[in-house]
Parts: sequence; C-alpha cells; structure tokens
Amino acid sequence: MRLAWLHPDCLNAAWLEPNDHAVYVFDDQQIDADGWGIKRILFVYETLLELPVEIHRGPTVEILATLARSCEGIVTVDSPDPWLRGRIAELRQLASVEVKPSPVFVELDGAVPRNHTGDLKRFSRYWAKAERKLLA
Amino acid sequence: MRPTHGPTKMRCDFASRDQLAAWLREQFPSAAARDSAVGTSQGGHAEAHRILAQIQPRSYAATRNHLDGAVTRLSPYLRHGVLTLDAVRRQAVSVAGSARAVQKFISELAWRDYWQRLYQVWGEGVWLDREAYKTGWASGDYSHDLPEDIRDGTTQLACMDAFSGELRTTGYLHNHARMWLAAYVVHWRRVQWQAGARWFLVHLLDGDPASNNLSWQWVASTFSHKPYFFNRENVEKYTSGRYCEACPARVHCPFDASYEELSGRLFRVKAGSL
Repeated sequence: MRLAWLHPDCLNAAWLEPNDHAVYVFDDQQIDADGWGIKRILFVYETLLELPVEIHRGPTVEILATLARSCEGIVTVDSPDPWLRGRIAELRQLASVEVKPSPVFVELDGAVPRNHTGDLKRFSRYWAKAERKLLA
Repeated sequence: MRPTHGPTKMRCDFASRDQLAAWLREQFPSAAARDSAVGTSQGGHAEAHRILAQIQPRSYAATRNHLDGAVTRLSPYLRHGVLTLDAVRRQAVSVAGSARAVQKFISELAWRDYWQRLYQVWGEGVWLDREAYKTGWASGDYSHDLPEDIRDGTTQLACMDAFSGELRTTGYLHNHARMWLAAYVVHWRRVQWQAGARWFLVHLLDGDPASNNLSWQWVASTFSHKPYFFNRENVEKYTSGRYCEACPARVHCPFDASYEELSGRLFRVKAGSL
C-alpha cells in the first residue's frame, strides 16, 4: 500500500491506484503563506469530500512521514510551487518518494530547460510552438 | 488496511455547505480573519463536470471580453487539478467539431500552461519585477501598500468598487474586470503590482502565483512591452454601461478620456512610444 499525497495542485483521483492510502494535509504554514481565506479552504474541502481521501491538519512532512511508516513509500504529483517542492525534498530525506509528472497539455519541440526560460519569454513565442499541435 | 485515525484527522460528516463553512471558520480563525466569505463556486468533481458540459467554446471568441460573455468559470477547477487543460480542450473540440473552430478558446487555455512553465523555472521569482516598468516610472515610484479604499470598495468609482466587492464576496472576477482593476491599482493609483497580486490571491478561488502574478506583471508592463490601460468607453462597451449611469464620479470620471490623453496623464513616456 502506497501513501498517496494529494496536494492543492492535484485534487483528483485519476493518478491513484486502488490500494493507495490517499491523504490531504491542511498545513497552516502553507495556508498562511499563500494567504488563503475561508472560501478557498471551503472549495478545497468540498472537493476532497468527493474523493477517497483522508483529510488531515498539521505540519505536512511530519504527518506524511508518520503515516508512511505503515506504507510502502509515498507517491505524489509534481508541481511548480516552491513550497510544495520544498516539502517533497524534505520527505525524500525521510522516505521513498515517487513524484509523478503533472498532466501534459502540449509537448513542445525543444522543451524549456528547467533552469531558464529559453525562447519562451513571450506568449507569442510559446504559441508559435504550441499552436500546430493544439489545433491539430 | 488503513492506519488508525490519528489526532490530526479531520471531520468528513457535514449536513450542509453552511455547516461546513461555519466549522471551517472555527477551525481556521486566522484564515477567517483574512477572508470569511464562502464564495459562489462549489468545489468538487461533480460540479466541475456539470460546468464543463455547458461550455460554449464557439461563442467564446466573440463574447469573452464582455462581462456577460460565454466564459466558462472553470478556472478554480483547473487551478486545483480537478480538471486538466487537456480535458477542457477535448470537450471544446467535441462541442465545436474541430479545434480550428475554437482556436481562441484553446489559446486562452494555453496561457495557463505557459504561465505554469514559467513558474517551473522562476519559482518565487514570479514575485520579482521580471523587467523594468515601461511607464517612465521606476519601481520605487510605486507605493508598497494597497490603498484601503480599493480593498474596501469605497473609491466612489462604481465600477472599481463593484469589482472589489465581487472579488471579496464571490472569489471570482471576469478576466476583463481583473485587467481594469489591476490597471487602476498600478497606473492610476501608482501602487506596486505585488500589492494587488497579494490581495487577489487571498480572494480568487483560481488564484495561483503563476497566472495571477504574471498577469499583473503583464498589466504593469514588467512582463510585457507596454503598460495595459483602458478608458471609460472601453468599460462602458464591455459592461453595457451598467456602472456608469449611477456612478458618483460619472461627471469627473478619471477614465473618461482618449487613450492618448490618459497616456499623457499616467505615464512619463510619450504616447506614441507605447
């Protein structure tokens, strides 16, 4: 059984497997850092109530590391969010973590390297690469 | 077998949305102090798919700039991964019969993908001016704090006060209203875009630092070739004049001028160079 960590960028069950123990953690550090108010927490909570997921509250890494002791590693979905990336890096010090790629909208030829924006400095340049594939 | 319930596990038994919202206000007092409204978009996959089934992608291109246009309001579901961009694109193509028929709709989906790619590279750098302002003003000429009258919706400009109220109450603003409000904050009030971006992120259900901040930078001109601004004629056209008639500022509206005149008032660069 894997511990599947749903975070704010991946509130869906499409990437879960039947035996996964799926959890979401409301972490006050993230909520305060992102400035969430009640309507955002409500929107996320309502979404979670439709999913096969346990809802927890507390420090993300501490809770996931504790729950992971009775699981065969942690699985989650990639995100560009620096806070989430930081938590994933911390979890990797404590447990085996698989990070699934986030859903792809379009594959670009000469994809942007992670350490610079290449020639995608304006949307028009991105669109010139993406248009043919998206309008096919 | 699942681990036994620990002390960190939260409730899942709520009789109604109101009951859940009241409980969340008790549980998250600091979030409630920032914003205690419940918003108008309901979370969940069922609601997302109900809205997805009703999209009108063929009408989108011609009407999307109007506040009553055929926009989808799917953005909160996209932002949180309830729906994927690809699922929305496939639905649009299915409804329209071809991708070419809904080119504008698809290109607007692509903006979100574009912003996410930049976020992947820049991370917290989306909070920094990506380029200098092209307004003739330096970054230091802009104030750091959002004026209270904008935050509270008491500017006495009917359009801006309505947008401020809608943002805080519903968690949603039409994209054109976001652009007008952002331009008002940055160019008319000369406030750093970061102050407005932080305010939007508290309230927008679809808010994420990539789409939000980089759109603010596009308006401000720190991630575009020129500042975005508007005039009264533009607002009246795309709102069917719903705000102007009863506006306290209707006879001394700060937006009631040609683009050339406004450019001269707002910016330190020649109108022709914008």
